[in-house]
Amino acid sequence: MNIRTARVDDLLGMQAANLQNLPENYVMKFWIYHAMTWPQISFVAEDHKGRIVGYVLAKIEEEPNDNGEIHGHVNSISVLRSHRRLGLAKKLMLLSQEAMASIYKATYVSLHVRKSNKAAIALYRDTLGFEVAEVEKKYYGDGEDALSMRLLLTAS
Amino acid sequence: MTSLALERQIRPIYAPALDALDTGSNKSAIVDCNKLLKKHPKNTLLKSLKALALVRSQKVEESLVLCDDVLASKPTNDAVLTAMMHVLRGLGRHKDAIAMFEEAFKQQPANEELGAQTFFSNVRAQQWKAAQQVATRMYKQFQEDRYLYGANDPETPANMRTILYKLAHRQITSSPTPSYLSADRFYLHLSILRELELFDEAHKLIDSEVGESICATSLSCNELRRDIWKLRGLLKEEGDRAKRLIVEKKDRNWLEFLSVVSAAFVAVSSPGAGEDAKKEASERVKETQQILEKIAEEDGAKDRSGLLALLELEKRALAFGVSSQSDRLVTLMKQYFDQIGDKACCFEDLKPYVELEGDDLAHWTTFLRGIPSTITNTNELRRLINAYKLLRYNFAKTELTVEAETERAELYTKKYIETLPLGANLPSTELQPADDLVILAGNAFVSLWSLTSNNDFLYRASSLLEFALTKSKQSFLSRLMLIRIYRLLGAPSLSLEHYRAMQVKQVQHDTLSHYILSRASLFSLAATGDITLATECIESTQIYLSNSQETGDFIARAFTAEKYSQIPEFIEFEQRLENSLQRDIVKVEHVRMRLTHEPVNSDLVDMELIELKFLYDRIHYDNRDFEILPNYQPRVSKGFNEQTLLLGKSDGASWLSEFLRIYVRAFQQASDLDDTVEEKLLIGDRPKHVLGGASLVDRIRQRKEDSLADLTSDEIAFSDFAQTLADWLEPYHNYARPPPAVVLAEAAKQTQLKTGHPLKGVEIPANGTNGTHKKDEEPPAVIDAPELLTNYFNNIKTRFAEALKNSPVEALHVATLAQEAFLLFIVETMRFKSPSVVKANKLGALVTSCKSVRVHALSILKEIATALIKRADSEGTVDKRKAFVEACSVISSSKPIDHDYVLNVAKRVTDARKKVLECIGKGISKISTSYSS
Repeated sequence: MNIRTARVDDLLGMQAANLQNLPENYVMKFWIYHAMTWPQISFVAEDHKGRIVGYVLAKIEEEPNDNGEIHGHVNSISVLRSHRRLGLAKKLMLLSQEAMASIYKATYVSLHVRKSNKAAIALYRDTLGFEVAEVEKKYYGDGEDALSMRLLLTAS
Repeated sequence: MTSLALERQIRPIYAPALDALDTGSNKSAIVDCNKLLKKHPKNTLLKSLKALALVRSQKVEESLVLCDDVLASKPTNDAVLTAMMHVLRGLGRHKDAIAMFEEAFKQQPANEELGAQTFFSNVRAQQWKAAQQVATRMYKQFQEDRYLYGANDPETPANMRTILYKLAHRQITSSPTPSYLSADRFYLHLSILRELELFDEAHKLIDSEVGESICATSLSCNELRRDIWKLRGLLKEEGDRAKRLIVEKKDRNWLEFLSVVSAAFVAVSSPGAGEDAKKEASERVKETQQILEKIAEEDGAKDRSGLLALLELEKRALAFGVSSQSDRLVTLMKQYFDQIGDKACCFEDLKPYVELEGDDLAHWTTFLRGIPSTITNTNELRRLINAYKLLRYNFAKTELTVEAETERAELYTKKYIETLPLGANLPSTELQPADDLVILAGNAFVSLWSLTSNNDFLYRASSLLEFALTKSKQSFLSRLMLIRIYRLLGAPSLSLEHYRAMQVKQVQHDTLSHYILSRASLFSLAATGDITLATECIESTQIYLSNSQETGDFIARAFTAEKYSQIPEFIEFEQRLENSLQRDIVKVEHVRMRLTHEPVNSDLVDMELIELKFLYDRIHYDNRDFEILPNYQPRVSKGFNEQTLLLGKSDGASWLSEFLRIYVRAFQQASDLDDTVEEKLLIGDRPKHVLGGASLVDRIRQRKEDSLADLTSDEIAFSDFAQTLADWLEPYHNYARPPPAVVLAEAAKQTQLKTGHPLKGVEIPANGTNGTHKKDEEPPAVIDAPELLTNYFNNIKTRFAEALKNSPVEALHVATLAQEAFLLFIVETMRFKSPSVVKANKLGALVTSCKSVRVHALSILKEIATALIKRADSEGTVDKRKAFVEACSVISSSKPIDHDYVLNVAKRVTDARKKVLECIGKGISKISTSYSS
């Protein structure tokens, strides 16, 4: 399994991962914008044939908050079912977090997750150390609540 | 009113007007503009905004007048230019946009922003050379390095790429802050150096202390470093470095392992390597083996890289003849399966290594057969599934008999039912662990169908997959298989249902719409007024419109932000979508559907001619995703994709080329628009002519024989028909087509009537014309209709009877092609329907000839329509449902897939099939009536 930074033309290759895991898809504009603006915090995992089996798409929140802190945000993360249980999601997340902290000096990283997505919540909370910051009611198109989760990034 | 007050009034129109594709507010924008224009009739900003709102409301003719008005005023105002840029883009007038900016820049040569816009407009229109000239001018003017371009002639995107990189290089090296201060800029710097092949400079950068430390922590920089080393041929050094990373830093990226493996074979990699080299390599292989074994042992099941690398090492050692132990590969594979067999990726991981023969294969097969099939947990289940997949992959041709495959399909089904309870407690959003067994069964059923052509196997596959979907709602793999199977069964509405359930979005329209739209016109009910599939065509192509809008903007933004090195990536991405093969295949399918739905007239013909001409010379990118279909067929057999292609043929680039040729030629003959008329009348840029080549009209006259490979035999017959028809009628069209001056005069008259404005640059002759004109030469002698035209319909009759016996899909294919041939005939003979044209050109005999072909075709079409409707009556009956259910009894003998469940699937399939047969029949009948006289 190889992990590398994402490129614009990966957009076409990520479709399989998207079909399976993303009920609410981001628009192309976002992907291109992210790839252009923060080229080093989004990653893809590819198998030996070069087919994309997982990815993390992230951005830097440009507006600093009241404390003048800059933070990163994970827009989406996805791993093909056939390549689960290999620690890929964790690897992808760690790489993105590391890049957010070291390149952009982000103080924390945030993300949204479906309340029902137990497996993902377990990964974020138990494996990666995220905490629930708040519950956003009816965040998703189908009316489901989102947990807004955060993780402090210690300067490395 | 003060100018300030006016500006306040314009602002609310301006801002929303520039919000791309916001069609809702166009109407009110037009009203607002009109109000203000009454008071300020000369205001160019108002005019340009109104033009924009008009373009977006499809009122092209009205907007043209305003657009030309504004252009004539040579605007330099930023807001006007921006609005006009959108107007001209909407009209496809990229060249005018360039001219507009160039003019503005000429008027205000000190305005840097205008220069940049001129540059972008050239880049957007892919006028690389002009873009470079603008940049040179800007460099002279502003003395800024960013405008300094290399000496290369940027006539191609590739050269443009180099230029952009040189620009980026100059920028980064001249910056007072060195790039190594941030990983971000260091990465950029390295990527520029790699692109420009400045390896020495790159090496210096990487070798520095800071460089080394960045590469050690930044994955992206390290990736570039690896590339650069490899490009310089430093395989051995790269291997050593990777080894350190793996051993000391516990790096587990696969590319590092590949570097280590590759380094072992450096000695034997060059041609003509002798025994000494082999000996050296063999030593290195042994060393590498020891390192990897240690890692595999340490990692265990936690990480599979070490084990996989051992396999890769052994595979290459065998290929180079430096392996020390002949049965080592199988041993390693067994070891791999023992460790990783309970992960879903095991099959894909081992696939590159399992192409075994002889004893090796026998050992491997025995090993896999020994995997326990009594399942108590999901780990055991995954192990069993991997064993099934691996065994199946290696079946020999002799093992693919109907009996053996039936037994396997039943085994996979049985195991599925048995192990389904393992996932009983999962939430409904999760996928069932047993799903892959259904997918295996589906593969086996399809394999049986391709062995026997017996639809019973497809009935079983569809019932089983439908059932699996009730347990795993998100299983898009089951859906994709069902989409293909239902199309084969002639139940297209069910395919569409599943396709829509996948909620295809964005770029997926480009990569996946082929599953539903490939040869979709054969299922189109547009003739009866049901335009579901035609609408699907239009919807799937929205992505291309937003692509050209968005990516263009991003290119401009990247330039402004001085992120030059990213521009080539954007350009390449835009090109891939803009020139997508699927996009134009869908366009052709839509034209085929449209002809059955709308009356054939000159408006339709002219419009489609102009659009299709654009496509003919395109170089296409095939972005269609076939890999996503789950394929577990044995390697000696065809894959699932090939097996389930509609009519057994893929509609690739050559299919597109032939259908485009047929339609462009027919439309060109039927149309009055020749190149000179088009130049005057049409809005937007014309396709570039192939340099030095023959004109399009000449090139489409002859069929490219190699383009027939993708066509079915029925489509080839249709192509023969089209060719003969066009060859026969060409001289009469060329004689009877009114000369350009007459066409232009008529168009000018119509425009004046419609818009109240005269047509720019066209004089209406004072005496007018009535559509006829004197000719100097005699009309070409009329020859009788070639026999092939009549024979075509005779043959269709026989072919249809035969196809109806084979399968409903084949029957629909033949029937819709007959209908298409007839409609093509209507297009080609439209000109000769007008009595005045016939009289003026003395073509009475031709009309008689045409009539006899038409009458004959009509009689056969009516027979086909009746037969289809009759066949539809026999579908959707109790008997048909019963047959379906009986065919599925092997999979539905016990719970949870019971009789009632299968009966429901049976009803849906037979009803869907009934509907398509009936509606296509009625459609043909309707068309026959519409064109009966």
